[in-house]
Amino acid sequence: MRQLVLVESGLTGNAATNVFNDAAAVIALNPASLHALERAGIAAEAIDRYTAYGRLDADGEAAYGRMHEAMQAIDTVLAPLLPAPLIGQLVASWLGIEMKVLLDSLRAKAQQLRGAVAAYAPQEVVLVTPGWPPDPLCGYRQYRALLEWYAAQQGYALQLIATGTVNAAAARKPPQRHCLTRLKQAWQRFSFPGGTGGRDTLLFADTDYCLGPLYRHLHAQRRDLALACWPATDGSGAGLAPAVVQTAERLWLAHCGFGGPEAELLAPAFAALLRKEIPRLARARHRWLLLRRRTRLRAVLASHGLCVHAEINALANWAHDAGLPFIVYQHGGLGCSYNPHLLHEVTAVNSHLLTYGDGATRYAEGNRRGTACVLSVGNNRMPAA
Amino acid sequence: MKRRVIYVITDNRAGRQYFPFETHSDFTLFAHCCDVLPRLARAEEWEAVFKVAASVDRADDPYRLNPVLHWLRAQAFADRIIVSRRPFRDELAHADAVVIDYPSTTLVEAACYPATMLVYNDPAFMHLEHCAEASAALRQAGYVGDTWPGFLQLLDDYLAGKLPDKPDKDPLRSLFGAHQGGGETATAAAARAIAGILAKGRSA
Repeated sequence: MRQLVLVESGLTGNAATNVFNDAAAVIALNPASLHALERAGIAAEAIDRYTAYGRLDADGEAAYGRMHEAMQAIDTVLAPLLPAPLIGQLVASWLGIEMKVLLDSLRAKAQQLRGAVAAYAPQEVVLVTPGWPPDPLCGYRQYRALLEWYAAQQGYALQLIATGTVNAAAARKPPQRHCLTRLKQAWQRFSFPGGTGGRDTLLFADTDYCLGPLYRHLHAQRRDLALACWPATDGSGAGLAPAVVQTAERLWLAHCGFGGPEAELLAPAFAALLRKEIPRLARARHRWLLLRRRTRLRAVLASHGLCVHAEINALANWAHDAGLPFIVYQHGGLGCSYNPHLLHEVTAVNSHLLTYGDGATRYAEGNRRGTACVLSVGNNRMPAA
Repeated sequence: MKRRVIYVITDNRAGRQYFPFETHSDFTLFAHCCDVLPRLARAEEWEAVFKVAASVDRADDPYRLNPVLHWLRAQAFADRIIVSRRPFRDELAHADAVVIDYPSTTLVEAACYPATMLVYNDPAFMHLEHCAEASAALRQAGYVGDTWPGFLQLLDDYLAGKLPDKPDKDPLRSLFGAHQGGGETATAAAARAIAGILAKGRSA
């Protein structure tokens, strides 16, 4: 039987050794696997060679606008069905970029797998994998989800060989889902140092990169300002009714504008994302309303890189609705090394963008979507010129 | 005394991608390391520092793992490479040259220090190509390779002393990096900007 062996896990393990000897080809799905195979003396190629970037770029560009339209259409139906503190809120739109990351990641892997299968026309595909279940929401685990879908559709057999991972500690639990959720690390504190005392309050949505030194400076120099730090928001709280989840999946399939595994696998992924994010957003909404009632909140600050996360999008929208400035400080990069899509997102609802210099300011002004005021202040982690 | 060159890499993408504007794949980032590190090790006039992100060999997530350190340990030249997890700024302060194969935050930070920059800027990934001003300032500030073989040739030539140092970073630094106000820090400038925004809010 003509076998194509795909290797997801870093170590090959004894149980998997025989299958490599008889394979038509062995393909590593990530560099750790490629390196492990090379060390074991097993000839392998990288799945990367089946990537056609031009096509993915064109599809990705087209998907950007379509994703926005789809999420807006979904919001019109979903918004009234959300739990109490979020009724009427545009939750799907806030998740738009995160869904596009999932879509693009899945689409690239689908393209690679189609290319590899076309090249070797296997009767059976063998996936050497950790024992974790497939997960369309999680990086390299999307491969297994796609392979199961293609095997069912295209009629080739799929054999799974569970094996070890790069290290034993990592094998005990599946890896975290890496979407755009860096917030747990960034949002550790929730505090009003010194109390508000009736002072004007500035809310730091995070203290990443340039915002850390700025927070410390304001804390030391601006005794007339109270500083609030937004905490990590856990996922407990109001959830989604099962009927609403089903509605969300149906809406995704109706509005996403494409078919195939991307549509079908991302429908439950979208529902899973909503189930994960809505309780978090509901708690965030409660906290926002509390903050508004108890303090003289005057502005919200966030760093650039986090502004595509749903919770930051929510804060930006809530600040906008309350007529409060939402100030974003550039987060690393040259300003122009961020892609225009991200700048569109960042400038769609924020009122001010602080950049590292006039070149970055001109670039942001040329690519902004809303009316954000762009100001050059410099990178405060670097020595002044 | 040997001169010091730093090679800095970026985090793995862990299977997440965004098109267009996607960066190099995890495979490519690993392959870059396998090309650059032997060159640094061979350059006897140089002390080579390999600046890695903290996540490069993180134990809790195999998908973010870049196998480069495993690979490096198996190479005969491994003892010629100093692996550093110190903050990049600390390394930059003592560097004569810095090698960057992904022009992002490391580039803007390197632009604020005197070290000569050697930068790989692959136009296929459109990092800087959509901003002519940044592209021109970068080419003035350092050696820029638009293809990987071309970049490696620049690196070889520079390490062999065939290319002079190139420390003229003023346009890049002033347009895209450090604060320019005489005596005022960027933090103070940001605080002043925020004070202005708040004052305007109160008057509105």
